[in-house]
Amino acid sequence: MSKKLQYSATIVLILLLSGTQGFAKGGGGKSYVRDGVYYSDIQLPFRLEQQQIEALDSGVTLSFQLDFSIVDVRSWRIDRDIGTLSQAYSIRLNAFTGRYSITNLNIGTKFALSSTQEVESFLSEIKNIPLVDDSILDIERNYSVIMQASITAEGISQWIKTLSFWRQNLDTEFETIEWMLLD
Amino acid sequence: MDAFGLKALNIRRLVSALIFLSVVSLAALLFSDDDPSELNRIQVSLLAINLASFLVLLPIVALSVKKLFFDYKQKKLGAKLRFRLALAFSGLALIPAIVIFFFAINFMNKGISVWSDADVEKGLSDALMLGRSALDERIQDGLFATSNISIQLKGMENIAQTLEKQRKENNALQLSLIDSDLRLLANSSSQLDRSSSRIPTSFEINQVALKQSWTSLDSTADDQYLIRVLVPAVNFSLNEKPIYLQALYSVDPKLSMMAYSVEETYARYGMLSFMKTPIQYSYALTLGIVVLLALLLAIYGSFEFADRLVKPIEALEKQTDKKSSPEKKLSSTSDGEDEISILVNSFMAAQKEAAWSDVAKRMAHEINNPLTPIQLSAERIQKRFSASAEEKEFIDSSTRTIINQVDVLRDLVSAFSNFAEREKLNFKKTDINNLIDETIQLFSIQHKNISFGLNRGGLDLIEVDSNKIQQVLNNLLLNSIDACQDTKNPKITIETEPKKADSATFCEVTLSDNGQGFGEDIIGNAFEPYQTSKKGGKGLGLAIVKSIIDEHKGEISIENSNRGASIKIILPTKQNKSKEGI
Repeated sequence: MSKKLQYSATIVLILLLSGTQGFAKGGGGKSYVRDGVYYSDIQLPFRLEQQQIEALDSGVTLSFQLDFSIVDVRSWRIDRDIGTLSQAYSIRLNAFTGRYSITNLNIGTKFALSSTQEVESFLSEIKNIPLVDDSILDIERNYSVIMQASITAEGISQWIKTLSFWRQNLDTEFETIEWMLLD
Repeated sequence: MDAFGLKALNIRRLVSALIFLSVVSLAALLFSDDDPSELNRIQVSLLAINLASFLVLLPIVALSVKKLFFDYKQKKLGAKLRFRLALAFSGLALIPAIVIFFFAINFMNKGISVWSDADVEKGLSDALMLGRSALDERIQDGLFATSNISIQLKGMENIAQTLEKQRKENNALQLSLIDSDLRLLANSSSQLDRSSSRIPTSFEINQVALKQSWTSLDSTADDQYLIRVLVPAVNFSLNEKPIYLQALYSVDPKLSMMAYSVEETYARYGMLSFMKTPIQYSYALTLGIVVLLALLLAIYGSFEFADRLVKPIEALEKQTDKKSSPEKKLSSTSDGEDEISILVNSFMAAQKEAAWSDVAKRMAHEINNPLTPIQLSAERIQKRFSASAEEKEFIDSSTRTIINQVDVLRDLVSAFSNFAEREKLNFKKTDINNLIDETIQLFSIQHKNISFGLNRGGLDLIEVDSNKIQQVLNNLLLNSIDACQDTKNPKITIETEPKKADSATFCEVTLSDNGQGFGEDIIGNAFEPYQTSKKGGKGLGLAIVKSIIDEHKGEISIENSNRGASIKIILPTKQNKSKEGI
């Protein structure tokens, strides 16, 4: 295979793979201490793409995951990871109730919402996420929280997503946001 | 077949390994889970294996095709037959494979389309609507009961007892009072799953503030349904903050179970419908790769099969001493003549030659045996009967005639023997120009009236049996000298010239004279034994010449020029060792 052909094949493959994934910018977070535990409130530009709504309405379950990483910010040295935490939600349409069911997979609570706008509104603002016990932190040091959020279509393999190349943004990757744990 | 510098054996091993790998992966694909999502998970790796096999096999087959085309264009012996066989076998594999592929795709698409059959979708929708209408009534009952309870709640005094009483009276699972800050003020509940008993969200509270009520059908972790009702407690105020009453009602477990089953099936159906097209693509792609791989293997197999079929034929041709004939390399075969025809012709020629050789041997033996007693008897008669001078002269004359004719017969027997017996050639690197020059020198001394000439071409040393080639030159020069007997200013010229065909090099020797030329009646079969136009000629000279040239893997041809005859000999400069002594 010639180099030109190899490059072309690689570009086509990247385009096919990236075609199924969207990207959302913006968002922010803040942390506070309550009863010796650091909690965070998150604001995200959570928007469901048309293909994601179609997928939901068809019976596909979407997974919304928030990955937190608490980092000890050190001068002149590489930052040190203190811990990681994931908060996951599943979103699906219950065809029987006609409502979008959001399940917090960490604690099992379920919420039923009547429209995708309500889903967007619900997941755009997530409050009271327990992050870390203050006993393991040093008050003299600087800690930051790095959060990466993503939406993925569950039960649909990457292979099928690649073959659904005409569908844009079945998965969404949010921009990484970072804030200081202690202000 | 060499591809990428690999030996044919290595390529065969590689192809065998690829076939094994592909068959195993296809078997795994065949026996994998029927669930399309499960299938897709393993499909990628299995397809990758097949795709890799395909990508490895593709250049091997492409190089084989290229080589076959090249050989075919060069009109190499065996290429035409190999090309035809490969084309036939590939065609036999290609046509059914394409037909099966399109039929399989068609049936597969039809099969997948059944999933999204309109009747199935409508049936599922109707089942959902039926379930919903059954539950709507229960939800409205719950809303009505909860609104009634909320009216009766007027303050925090004895609130726990009031909630407990109302919960039992209205068959609620839970009654809770919540303020606008989502703080639980009072609660009364039966045994409930912890996950089902939850504080409403601010969103739900906002909805109640807007719409005066909020109802939802919640599914629990154990696949049951709960009716959740949230209303404002209009007569209840605490620190002037609005208070809300949340009530949970159970749904009949049987109905819950059926509702869950219908909903699951509907969701699964919806998901499959959503993935229908990519699943079709996936199956088509899998089938396509499998068919392409099978086709490539079939084409590769057809090349191998054709190769194996042609090889014995080629070997047979070698045995008939034709394959490496320079004629086939310097001049192409006629279009209608394939390897089988060449083989048949070669075989017939070889048989003919063998038959002649056998006849010559027998004749030599049968004629030679009586010659000695005839000659001895004639000599004895000559010695014993010496009476009168007249009788003596008669007897002498008669016996001399007998003895001379016996000598003639002996020469004939000797010529037969030379033709029939093939000695093993002794190839040595020889300067053909010098050999010709020496031969011409000998003849020019004996025939001073003839002008001999040699035009030397730039030739390297060539591998020949110099004695045999000397014999060839002698025979040809003798023939030319005889042909020039009646010619004024007879002239015999020999010209040498190097030739190339493919990567092989040849030496071309052309002998021309201005004699009488070949008679039209014998020029077509001049190299066959007993063909001669010379008085007293045995007709074996050119047959022996042809035999020697054939043994050198060379070619000889004759033609009449404007004045005289021209004999062209083509000899390979190098002899293939394996072919020596054939």
